[in-house]
Amino acid sequence: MRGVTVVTLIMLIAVSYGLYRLKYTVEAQRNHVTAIENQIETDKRAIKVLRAEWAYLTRPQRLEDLSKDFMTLEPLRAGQISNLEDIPERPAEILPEEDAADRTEVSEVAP
Amino acid sequence: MRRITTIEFDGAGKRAIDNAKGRVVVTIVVFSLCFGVISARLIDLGLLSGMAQASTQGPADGGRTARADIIDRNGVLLATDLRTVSAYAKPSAIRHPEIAAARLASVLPGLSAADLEKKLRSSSSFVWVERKLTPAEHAAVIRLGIPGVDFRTEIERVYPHGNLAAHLIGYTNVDGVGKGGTERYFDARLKKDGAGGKPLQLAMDVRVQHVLRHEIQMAMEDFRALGGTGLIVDVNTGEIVAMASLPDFNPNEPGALIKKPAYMNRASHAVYEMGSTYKAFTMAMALEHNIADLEDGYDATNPIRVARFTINDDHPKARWLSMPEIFMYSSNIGSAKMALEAGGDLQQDFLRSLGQLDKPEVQLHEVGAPMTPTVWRDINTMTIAFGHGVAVSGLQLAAGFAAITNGGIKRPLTVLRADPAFPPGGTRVVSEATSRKMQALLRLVVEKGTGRKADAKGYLVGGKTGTAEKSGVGGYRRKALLSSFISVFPVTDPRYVVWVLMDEPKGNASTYGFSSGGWTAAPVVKRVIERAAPLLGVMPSDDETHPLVPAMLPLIQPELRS
Repeated sequence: MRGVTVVTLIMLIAVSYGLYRLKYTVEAQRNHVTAIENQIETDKRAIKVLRAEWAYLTRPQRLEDLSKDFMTLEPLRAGQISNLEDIPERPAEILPEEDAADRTEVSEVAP
Repeated sequence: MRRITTIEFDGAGKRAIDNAKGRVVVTIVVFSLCFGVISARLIDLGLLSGMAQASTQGPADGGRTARADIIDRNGVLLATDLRTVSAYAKPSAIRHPEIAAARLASVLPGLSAADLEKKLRSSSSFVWVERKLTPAEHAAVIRLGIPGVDFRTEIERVYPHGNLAAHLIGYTNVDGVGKGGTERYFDARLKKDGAGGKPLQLAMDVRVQHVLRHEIQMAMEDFRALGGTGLIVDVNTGEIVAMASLPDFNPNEPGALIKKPAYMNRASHAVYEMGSTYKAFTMAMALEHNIADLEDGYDATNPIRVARFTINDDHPKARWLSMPEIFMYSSNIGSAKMALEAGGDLQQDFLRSLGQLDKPEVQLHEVGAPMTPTVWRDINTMTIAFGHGVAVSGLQLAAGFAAITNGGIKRPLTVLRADPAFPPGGTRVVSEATSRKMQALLRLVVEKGTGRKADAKGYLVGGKTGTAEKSGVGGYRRKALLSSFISVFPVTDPRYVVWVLMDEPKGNASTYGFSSGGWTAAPVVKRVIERAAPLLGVMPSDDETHPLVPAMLPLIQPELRS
């Protein structure tokens, strides 16, 4: 009788310990999840701000002004657009061997 | 186990033992109950309540309704909900207002240190330092670490592109309710989807929109016009790729909208008597219903006098004109006679099929209803033939024009991006043959007629000029013009309709004082097409003209010059 009681008591303590351990682990995991969720929320907000800022900084008017100030580009003209098919194949006889050798040298100098 | 022998008691002894037994049972039950309750509560506290606490979420954002984003056809952000941070100060908590003001002004470029110092020395308990800080400014103010300065966050609707497409996108009030444009038309949907929901994708392309708005804006300055408007519409899907209306407004400052003229959407809400661009419809009607074919013509020697009206030509040739000539020289007399022969009933039916006589269904809050005559007399038929007597919106004109040039299919216009896999259905309004003839006639106007200034090399522009006098008190005002140009390109296989209208342009030295559509609006269309076509993926063509144009040339008399 006494033996049974002692075993039961030990088991009770073991189970309680296990249960509370489990509980605290779950709680810690849950806090971890909450922290991650908060981080995701913060990041999402930051992404929204950055997307808005990107849209603001890439306004066509701004890009046009910047291009005028810092680049020598001009608006595209229809004559500058062509199809790949419109470019003729290079005839083989136009490319002599010396010429080909020159080309390799150039490409070595300026990789 | 020992065998328990029941011992029998009698009398008073038995009663005392029975009593004791009863008490013990009662005590056991009471204690068990107590411990049971305590255990249950322990389990509840230890295992369940703690969990419930952990699952609570962060506080919701403000009281304002969240709205979904609006994006353009390429996914560029047009409108979004952002939390904005505003800095405020409690003057009583600020020890050195002078130093604090100077330091704040050093990181907030829009502020003057003197004004701020005055505010910080005031006796009120709350003053705004600066509303709507940028993230960089917010960080800079935090870094200053001035005690007594704090922040308040609010959710705001932000339009990164500002004025660019203000009329099309619309705006919201401080409570986040859509008040104009698509923001108002799709108010319920944007609210339902919420801030994280599926964004609303418009058909508009910000780059093309910028080209259209910018060119109209520059022309408005050149010609000192009161306003200008324009549309670019995909003829095969009805998508509105660009819609500009000037003057415009900044939707980020809805409070500044008291100025009404800027708020007016001239492309969708305003209705105008379109003038000669309407001759394209008269011509299409005559060709479609066999009133006259290309070889036919009308006598335009003398002006038409009906009652107190006189119909005259702006470029009088004073002779018989063939159909291509009537269109090329924009003859009012020829167009009026053409419409009269067709009759008022046919004209009404035809214009109705092109959506000219009914309010169009477009997903914008501001859509104007056309103004039409209550009684359709012959004089109405004649004036409407050249675009006077019916006032329509730019949306209606562009939709009708797309229908007669795209092969003959009328499609409703849409501000939303169409799914390329499901092309929108439409109704046939003219035959393909008529549509081909119209393409050639429109090309002729640009090659040899009033629209030469719209000829963007390589893009085969076809179009029609329009110059309407604005109606004022007691008739039309000769000097107040609505100068417009409607075009389609490439004319051999139309992709886009481009329409531009200038409100009261004044001629300048570069136009020799002229302010008609061919001088003011046509060059804008040319520049818009040159800049926008590569963005719209239209390949330039080596063709010089429409295949039907050479057959029309013999119908045009070479002008005799002295």
